[in-house]
Amino acid sequence: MRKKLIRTLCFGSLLLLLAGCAGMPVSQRERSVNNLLYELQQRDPQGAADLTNVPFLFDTEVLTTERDAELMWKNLQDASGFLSEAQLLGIAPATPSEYTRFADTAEVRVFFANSLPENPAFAEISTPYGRFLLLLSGKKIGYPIVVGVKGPLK
Amino acid sequence: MTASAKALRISVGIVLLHSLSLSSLFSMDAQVVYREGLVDIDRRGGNRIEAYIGDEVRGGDSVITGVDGFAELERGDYSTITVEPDTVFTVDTVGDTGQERDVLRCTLGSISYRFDRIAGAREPRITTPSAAAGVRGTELTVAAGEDGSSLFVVQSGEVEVEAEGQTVLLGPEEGVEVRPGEAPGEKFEVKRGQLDYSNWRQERRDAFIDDPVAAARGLERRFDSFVKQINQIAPVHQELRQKLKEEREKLEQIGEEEGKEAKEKYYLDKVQPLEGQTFNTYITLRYYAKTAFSIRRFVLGRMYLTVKTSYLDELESSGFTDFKSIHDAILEKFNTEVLPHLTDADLM
Repeated sequence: MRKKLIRTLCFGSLLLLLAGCAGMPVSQRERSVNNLLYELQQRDPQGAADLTNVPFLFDTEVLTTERDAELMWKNLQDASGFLSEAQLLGIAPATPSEYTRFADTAEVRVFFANSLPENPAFAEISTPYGRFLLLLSGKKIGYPIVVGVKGPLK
Repeated sequence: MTASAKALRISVGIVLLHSLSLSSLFSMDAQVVYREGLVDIDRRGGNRIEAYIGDEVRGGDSVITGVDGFAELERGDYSTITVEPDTVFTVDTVGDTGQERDVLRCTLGSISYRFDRIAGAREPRITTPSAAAGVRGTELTVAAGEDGSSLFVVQSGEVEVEAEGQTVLLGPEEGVEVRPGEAPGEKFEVKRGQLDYSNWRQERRDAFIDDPVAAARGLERRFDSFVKQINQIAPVHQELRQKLKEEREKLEQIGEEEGKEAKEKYYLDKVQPLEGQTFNTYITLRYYAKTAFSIRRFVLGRMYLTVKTSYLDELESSGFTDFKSIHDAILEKFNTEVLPHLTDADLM
């Protein structure tokens, strides 16, 4: 009887754990964000741009074209070690009121208030060029999408 | 200069305050009649949607094409606009000689425009970050480079290109290049189909990467000219608004003291013309503010992205810090002098 109870509890815990993982958006899952960093490094700039929301933020700027996304990833891929040596430091959900983490400007405030895709999250990474902040979004399956890049952080 | 060219003359620096007919409050829409690849419509107010054939592009909307995107738009005056890949194109309006006038703004990339003249139709003004052009019965191509430069090439008709107070009249198979913050260059001859616009854009991109500081300085000069216009018009608009408020109070007083007929007469004689003037200055003020904003967002934004990601391992070098100081100066002027005339919807 006791054995059965333990088995039931273990199974229940496992189900709860799985349900918890499935319920968490990919933008907030460490493994998914690491997979994203790997994909951004492996793909060509156009492929990396496919993993980028347009419009997106880059420091103080709101970039609005597909070409901007390609240009950013081309140059970041050319920056030796930027992606290949990137280490995820932490992830936290993002809210519109936290726009100042990118820039304390009206444009960034309006972007956070109106253009954030679902399940936004901040991911901080370390690179050979310093720490960078990524703004990510994502559903429950697939890769997170890059919505913003800021750095190096001071 | 021919009589028709004189009639076409456009001066960005002059604000004409005349009454505005309410029937012309809304600019002429365009309709998407063909598309290939990635083509989005960025609605004024921030709703960005994929463009489909039949979609309308209304005043304040932008058409943004991807690297493989291409769109053809038709307007009610039978003019046709083709929007090339990697282009930001906006339909806008400006108060001009007492009427609202359409403005087709090519901020990045290139567009071709063909206007079939019909009675009563009013030609739009076509603008880029570095110049403005008045057109008539014209077929022309306009390209806007990443360094803020622009290229106007006329296939047929006449175009007067204005920048920094100087104009160049272009006839068929003539073109001119305008660098940001400078007057139009020497016009040159272009045989139909001879000019490769993507090559020109690549050349301007290369020139910008070679010397981003010079390009940013040119863009700052052009940006400053719009800020100057804003600072000239804003107090005029403020004064007109105050005067209108006073006249409306007086109107109510006349209504109470002298009756409905006297009130109607006062409205037609005094208040209505003032309403037109006030609205016209508002439209013009907004036009300059939105133009400055498009330079700040689309041109300066891409410049910053390009330079910062290229200089990632030498952010302390003068190549980057000199560029950054110009960038920050433009941003500061944008925030203090342009932003007060924009709404959150404009910033989306």
